Amino acid sequence: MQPIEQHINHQHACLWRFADQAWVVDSKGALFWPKQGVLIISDLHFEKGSFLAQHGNPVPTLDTRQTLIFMQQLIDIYHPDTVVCLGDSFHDRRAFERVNHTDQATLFELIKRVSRWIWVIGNHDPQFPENFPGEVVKTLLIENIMLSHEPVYEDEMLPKQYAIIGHFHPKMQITRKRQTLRGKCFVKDGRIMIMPSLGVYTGGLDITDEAFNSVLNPDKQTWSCVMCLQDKAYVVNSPHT
Amino acid sequence: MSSVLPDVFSQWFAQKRWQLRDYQAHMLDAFTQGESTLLIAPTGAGKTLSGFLPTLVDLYEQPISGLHTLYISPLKALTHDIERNLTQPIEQMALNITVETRTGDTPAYKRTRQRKKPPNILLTTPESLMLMLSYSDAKTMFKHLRSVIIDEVHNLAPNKRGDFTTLTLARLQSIQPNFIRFGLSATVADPSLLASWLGISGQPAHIHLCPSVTQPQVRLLPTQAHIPFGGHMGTYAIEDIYTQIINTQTALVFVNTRAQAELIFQGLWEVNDQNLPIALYHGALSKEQRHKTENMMAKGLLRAIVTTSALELGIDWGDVELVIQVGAPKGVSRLLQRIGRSNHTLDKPSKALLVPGNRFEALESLSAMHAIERGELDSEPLNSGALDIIPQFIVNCACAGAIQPDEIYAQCLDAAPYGGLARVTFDKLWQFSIDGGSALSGYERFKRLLPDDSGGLIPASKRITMRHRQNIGTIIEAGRLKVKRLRRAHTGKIIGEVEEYFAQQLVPGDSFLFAGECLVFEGIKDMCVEARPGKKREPKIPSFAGGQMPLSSYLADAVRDLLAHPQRWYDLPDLVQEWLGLQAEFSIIPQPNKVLIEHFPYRQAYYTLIYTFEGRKTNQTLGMLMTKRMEKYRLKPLSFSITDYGLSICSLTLLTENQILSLFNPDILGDELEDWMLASPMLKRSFRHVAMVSGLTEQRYHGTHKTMKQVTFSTDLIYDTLREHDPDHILLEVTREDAERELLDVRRLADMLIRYVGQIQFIRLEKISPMAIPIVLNVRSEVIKGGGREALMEQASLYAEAETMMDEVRALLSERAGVKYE
Repeated sequence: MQPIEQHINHQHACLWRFADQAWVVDSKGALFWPKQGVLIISDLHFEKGSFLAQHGNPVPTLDTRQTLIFMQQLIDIYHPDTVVCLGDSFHDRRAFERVNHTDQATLFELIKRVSRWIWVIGNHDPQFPENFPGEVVKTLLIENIMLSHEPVYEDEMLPKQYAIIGHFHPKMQITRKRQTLRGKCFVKDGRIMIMPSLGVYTGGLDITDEAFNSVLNPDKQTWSCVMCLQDKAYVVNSPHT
Repeated sequence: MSSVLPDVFSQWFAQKRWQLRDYQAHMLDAFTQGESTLLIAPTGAGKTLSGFLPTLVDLYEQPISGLHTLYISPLKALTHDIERNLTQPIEQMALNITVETRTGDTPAYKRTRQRKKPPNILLTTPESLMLMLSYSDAKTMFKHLRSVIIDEVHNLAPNKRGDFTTLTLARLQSIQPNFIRFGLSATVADPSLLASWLGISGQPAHIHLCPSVTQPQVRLLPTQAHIPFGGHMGTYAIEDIYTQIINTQTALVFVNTRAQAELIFQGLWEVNDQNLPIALYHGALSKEQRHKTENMMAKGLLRAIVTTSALELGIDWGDVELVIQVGAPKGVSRLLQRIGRSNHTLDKPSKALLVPGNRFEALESLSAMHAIERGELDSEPLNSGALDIIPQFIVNCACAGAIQPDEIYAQCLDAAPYGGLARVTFDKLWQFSIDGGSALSGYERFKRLLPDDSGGLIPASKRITMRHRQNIGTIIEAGRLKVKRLRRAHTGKIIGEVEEYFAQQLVPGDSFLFAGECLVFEGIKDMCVEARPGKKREPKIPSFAGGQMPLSSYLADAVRDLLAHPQRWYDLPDLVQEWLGLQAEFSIIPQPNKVLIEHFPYRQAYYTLIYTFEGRKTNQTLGMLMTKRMEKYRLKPLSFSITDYGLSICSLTLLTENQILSLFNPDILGDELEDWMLASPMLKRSFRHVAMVSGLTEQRYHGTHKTMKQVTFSTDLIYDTLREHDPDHILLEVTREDAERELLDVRRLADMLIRYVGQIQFIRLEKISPMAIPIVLNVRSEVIKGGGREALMEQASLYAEAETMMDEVRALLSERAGVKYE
């Protein structure tokens, strides 16, 4: 059996339909596109720890290292041909300088392992240093799917086009048998899928927040979610329905 | 008595028809001799005046222009009250002495002025004192300090705030080595503990005991309505409480939480046919509201105040006739303290009525009454100083001027709780204060503290100083939002604060009880909850984290003892006796030297009730270890909740007797213990606390709450990363220690597990037992991450298509694999 199938059987990932295709949603907060062999990860926020530290906040600056370990694990499982980092990969413009040698070596090693590595730029990392490994793009269109960091609005899309975006760090909670379950999540309507953040030191925004209303279809009946709980991923209804 | 009062003072005493009491004379002597003294006296003894009398006399005889006496109280409200009470004699004797308060409520211009030109007597809180010490002018401000009076020592000493206070004293000592420490305390079980706390390390303060002459009269309030099985609010007794208020000149109604205060207050006004002036007072109300109530009370305009522990300490209202305690008393000393609010004179007994919230609480109330009759008190041991405060102290000192480690270490050692602080630990905390103390090399280090020209360390930027000053203290508050009571569109008065968490649950149109009225929520604007008064059914009640009070272990034992002696049950209300009868019939009454375990289905899950009577920490540890073991056996635990009496575990699976016996077994303390502890949610919670107090994460950020979201992310993530990559980090050590003092007690658990081998009474029930109801209904529970939640999640998850999709994906994957290998 394929390791990916095993991964799914153990509920570490689940299957989800979007844009008339099958997707593998990983509980770490990553998305794998079987047809194209593309692994999508979003909002890594490398060096957020050191960003806070330089403002006098003595947080341990170990976040980049941990996020890289997650990426490594994902690449080991999915063996993607292409990795797309969906924006806000680096927490701020100077984050590139602060990545230490060990972590930088790990990152470059990962990039080498994959045939194609694409950095979609985000609001936190609008500019990459020259000669940085990987392609840097504003948005990316594969088949009829637009990959972008920030929301793509209806009038910017062709009919029959779909979008996968990051930026919002969605999370959700549901209640079963008087127990509240919380976790980061993927949320989609018929047209747009919003990915959670992979970065270790990133907070989340609950999908009941108004910010999501202006991005997704206001009719919440059309929403669907994958919630990540511990190391498992589950397809669930949006809590509105 | 060698002390002779100056004439002005003797005349004033005579005018008041007062005698100089023995202990007041004693304090005058102690001052002259320069002896730090802990005065232990019952409430109503004029304790506070005896602390100030030496100061007044000294200032009268040798006037100085600067700060002479510092008064530290755990409560802001107390400082205002003391100011009122001090101003009176000063004015009446026409003394040329200035008195001012300095708390978080003091306006900025006044604080600046106070630092430049301090009053003779400054009344403040530990946090405000630490803040004053963070300014470079602290050395001038405290140069002439003669005396520090610490009020309510019994309340302050046993917790982190107490540790914090001793560090401020040590710092003052480094500025002015000769000031005298006066501590004022209510009666406690072991005064010597407090005396050591009050003095410099190794030099305990002298103790002066002033015995109590009267016994308080405490009764259970007989009620018309039935006392319920569960719940803590006590609303069933509203009518009876109201009747008591009618028949009393002035009553203080004490409750245990702010939410309960709102509910009881609302309930009382619903039955208040006579429109009696009944007020509400708790810490979440705006200071204007609180001051208004304080003033009305001082003028004798109120018939009753519903209040929380906010009014528990020392405030001298003079003529409170009756104290009504609604809800469990939680501790004998605490109850006595509350009762002492009534009849603030020495020679008349205080009167109090107890209103237990449920039947279990009736046992607790009666046990507390018996303890009072026997003159027994609960004693809580003092811990060694909390380490997370040290970095805060270090940065605080650096804000005032360049610091060297040797000098700061010496000051820490002077504070009694830190007398045993090892240099190696201090050095790690020192490094943490400088740069986060990460052991990993290769990372560029970001320094909070940098050397100045002298080589001493100072804050690296103004921002760091500002950030530190905004976050001084050991009290962790959840994010708060102000509540604006609207009159017209977006205009209205701020009436207090609720927790962000509560505000986020509200949708427009929801109603909630706050500041004694029903408000309809409109929205959140500019960090304000906007709401207008309105009537609606079933209003919500804001809850406040940290509102729960721990029960003293003494009282937990006393309850067990009461259960073991049915002949003493006759003092209980009939309904409670009946309830115990039901328990005996349906299940078993917990026996001494045995542990009763009940197992029953309830609310779509299974509950295991373990009656240990070993106190919260033991129960917490037991809960943690048992659920870990359950997780390992795939028994799907969901959550557990603890009380002082026992532990309740909720699981998705029905358990057999053998399974339960294998869970309640000393071998759960095996080798995995360490790992279990480190990974437990309790440790993460401790870490959250430690992270905030030590300055790793912050509560307030530049006054602009809007940026909070960017800065705060779950400290759990930091905890996990540290454990993974830097397991020797000092904060992990501090967390572990913090958890052991606040949450866990492995040693006591081990003793208990060994003691009860073969002494377990297991009983399987069809439904919840009478005695279990109050415990299971306890809302705060510890969530277990693991199989149970996964099982719930599986039930919630949907996907009919999964199989067909798997085929599709399998095909796609093998196609790719094919392409790859060709």
